[in-house]
Amino acid sequence: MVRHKWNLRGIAVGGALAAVAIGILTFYVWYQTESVKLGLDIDRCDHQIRGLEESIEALKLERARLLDPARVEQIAREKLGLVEPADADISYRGKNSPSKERP
Amino acid sequence: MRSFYESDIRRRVKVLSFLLAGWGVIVAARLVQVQVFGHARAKAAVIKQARDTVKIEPRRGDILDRNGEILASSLPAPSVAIRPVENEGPAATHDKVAKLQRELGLTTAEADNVLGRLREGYNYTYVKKKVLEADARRVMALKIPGVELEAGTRRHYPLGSLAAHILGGVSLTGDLRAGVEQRYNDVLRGEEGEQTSYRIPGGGSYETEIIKSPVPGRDLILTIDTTVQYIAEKELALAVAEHKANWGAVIVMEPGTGEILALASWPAYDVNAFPGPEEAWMNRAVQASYEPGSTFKIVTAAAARERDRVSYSEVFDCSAGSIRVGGLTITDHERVGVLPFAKVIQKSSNVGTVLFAQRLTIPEYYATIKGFGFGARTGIDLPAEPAGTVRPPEKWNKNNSLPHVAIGYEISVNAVQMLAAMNAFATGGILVHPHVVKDRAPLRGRTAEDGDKPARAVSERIAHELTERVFAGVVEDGTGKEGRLDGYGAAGKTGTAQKLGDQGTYTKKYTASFVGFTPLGQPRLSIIVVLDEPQEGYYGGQVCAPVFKAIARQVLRYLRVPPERPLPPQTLTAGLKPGRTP
Repeated sequence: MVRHKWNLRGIAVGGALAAVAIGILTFYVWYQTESVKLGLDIDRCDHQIRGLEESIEALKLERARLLDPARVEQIAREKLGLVEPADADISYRGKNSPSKERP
Repeated sequence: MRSFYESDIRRRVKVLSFLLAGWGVIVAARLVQVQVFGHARAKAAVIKQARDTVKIEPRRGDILDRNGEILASSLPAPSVAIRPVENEGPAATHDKVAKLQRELGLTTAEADNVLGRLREGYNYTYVKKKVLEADARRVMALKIPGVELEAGTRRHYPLGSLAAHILGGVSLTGDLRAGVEQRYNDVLRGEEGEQTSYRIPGGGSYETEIIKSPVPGRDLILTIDTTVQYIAEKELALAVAEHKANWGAVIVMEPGTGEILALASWPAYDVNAFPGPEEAWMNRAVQASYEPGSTFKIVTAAAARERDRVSYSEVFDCSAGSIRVGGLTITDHERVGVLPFAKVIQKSSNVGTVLFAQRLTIPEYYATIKGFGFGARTGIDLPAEPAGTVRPPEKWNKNNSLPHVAIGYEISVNAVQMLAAMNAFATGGILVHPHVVKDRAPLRGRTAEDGDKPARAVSERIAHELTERVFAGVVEDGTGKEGRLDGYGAAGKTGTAQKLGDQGTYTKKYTASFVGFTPLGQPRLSIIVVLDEPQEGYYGGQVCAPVFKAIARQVLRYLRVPPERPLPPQTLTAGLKPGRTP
């Protein structure tokens, strides 16, 4: 009986080629899955950013509305009872400030 | 030597390996072909299936004041749209539209239009454009098949009517604009994007894909100061109410730069309700032309002094109270007697002004008028500025046009031109370029016609002389003394011009004005106040100078400008409580 010798080199080459092909396909599937996952993550982050940007805009507008000079003056005069100071009650500091005449 | 079996197995392995490798290569090549080289074709095939393409509105840029306060912004305002649903009966469609009508408050005509379009098979129909976000959310919560939202924005002005005529406004549909919203639309609007919607195969729903992302508009920073604007508008509204004027205008400008700090026109409107009532549309501060009357004497005085046709020591006999020129009689508002040159202007004597103006030739005087920028737009970056009327010298009546123009008639100006002319005395003779948008350098190209180069209207020496010896006296002790400020010097000129009637004759209706600047040492504010047809008092010094004073006082304080001269002593009034004896 003749004992058949396996061609180990041929098997190794074939196996390597098969492994490369499977590796390419596996990498491709993994790459696609990861891309989709990352795409979804980016979408979610974009959505979150848009939401936050809208909140910031809304807060900026609210701030502008609250600082409306007409509203501020009304609150100062009517709610807080503030009045404008007389000219003489204001002191200016600096080299250009004028000397005050005393009555 | 290898046996037959060995050779056979070896051959089989080889074939198998090649087949396997070939298969792998084919699969990889196909993937590359489909996903890399065939990408455009595949995408085109998908787009071909698309049912329609919709523009994506870009976010319009904000408008900010000089301190970064928001004057205009854009809020999300989606549009509600509807698509037909397969195999849906007419009754179901009718019910859907009825639901939308209730939720969005559609009129019957609007609902019928939507229903009609759906029945006619239109693929995409707007149910209501630019709705409030809350309304949109409520509609989407109903989960009506075929109903979807299209992103969009609407303009919002958090300060309501403040700076209405500067901002102008944008209508809900976006096709009607005014003010800087119109003038700088190219900068603010951004670039539209594009998205396509296509039906998902095998289903009734649609998928959207953004083909081109929108590019948001750029923000615009104005020279306006919200607080100064508020002060100007408040004082103008008070003056208009007090004097029952037809309309009024105020402009506050930084003398050295031409930056407009405030520009108020009354009547105004809520910019959120743009375009608002028709009578409020016009920006009187820029668009109204009027005969300036005596404020124009600043130009006459400059023309005469520049050519040395009058000296400060000269006196003019105005005691007759009138003068006859070219068959017409020009009168003074009161008999002012014999006056030196400076007092002629300070008392605003028409007779005295005509006497020294007649020493000028028409071409000389015309050259000075043009030098001050009259008869040409100042180039302020707001829409529809009129050039005003300055007739060429050959069209002047040789006998009486010069005296008339010398006292501010036969010529029309707008408030910006008059302010720029007076401002030339604050800058040592330089005519600055008034503008409302700060740092326009990046916007050049769009505003190239503005021509920012300052020009000289009058020599520095004459500008300083006239300011110190003549125009300061108008406010200190002349017709504009109601505009005198405690602690600050000011220069100015009053104007009270009779209005021309429909018959071409002058009526008993007046345009009152005051134009001036303060402080005298280092001018920080140039201000013009114009009131049309004031009823309770009509002299510029009487109705407009107090507005100048009120605005200047508050704004100088707000800008922390220290007084340039001592404040007058405070008067303390002592008293006793009722019932007490000393």
